[in-house]
Amino acid sequence: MALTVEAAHARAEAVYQPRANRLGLWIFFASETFLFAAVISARFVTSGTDKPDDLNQALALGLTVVLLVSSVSAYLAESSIAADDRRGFMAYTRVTFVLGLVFLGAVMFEWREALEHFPPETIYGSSFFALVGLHAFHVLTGVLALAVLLILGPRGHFGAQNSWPVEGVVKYWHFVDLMWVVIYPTLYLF
Amino acid sequence: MTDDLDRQRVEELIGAEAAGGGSLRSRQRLGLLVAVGLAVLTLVEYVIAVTVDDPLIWLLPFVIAKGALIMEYFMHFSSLFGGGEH
Repeated sequence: MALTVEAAHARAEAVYQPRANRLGLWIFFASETFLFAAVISARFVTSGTDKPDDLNQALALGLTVVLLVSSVSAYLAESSIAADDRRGFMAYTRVTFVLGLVFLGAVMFEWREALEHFPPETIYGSSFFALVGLHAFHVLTGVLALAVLLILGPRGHFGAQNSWPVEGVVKYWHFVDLMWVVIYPTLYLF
Repeated sequence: MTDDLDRQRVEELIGAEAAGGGSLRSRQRLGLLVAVGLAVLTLVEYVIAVTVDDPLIWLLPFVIAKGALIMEYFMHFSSLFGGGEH
């Protein structure tokens, strides 16, 4: 009888713990969304839909493509670990990590250009650097989380039965991509 | 021993549900389809932005569509409410 009760507890924990984890993560995403929404609304309040002609549209489109492709590779990494394909998981996580670094490098290049054309002292520049900086910081933390997965992955920390850490990091990465989907038109297209 | 196996199986099922359910190949196919959808929407968004004056209203549906695709297929938002089978 005791064994049955323990089994029931173990099953309940196995079912409800991941769901509680996910709910907690989504609440965190909701709070982060408020932060991004505040900075995005500041851009429209201070300068409407005006934007400088010196914006590097090609680079911004490139940044968007890099982040969207990295989201696909992150999705494939999560799918691989859920199917216990550890080699696939490591390969796709590596691709996502590299694309994250490429994105950060491109942002640094873009900032060098932006500093010449619309420095942070200008109205548009203040919104631009605040918003891109806030997002780049999130990309940086995502890259660090991916690095942790790359370090712990080969040591057998993740598998089909322990995929929550991967799921959490990958969902965070998608959230960062989701924010860029809004930031890109906010700064470059509207 | 049986309890451990039972728990492992439940955890595997929960992990698979989190990743969207289905076989690895079907998930990969779905991921690539969503990627193509996002690429097409981004391209249309860009074309509208460079051809239309004051494109805010025109671009909003594309932004929402891209966000919905990412939230539903990559972040499995509906699985939070017990769904999630894609």
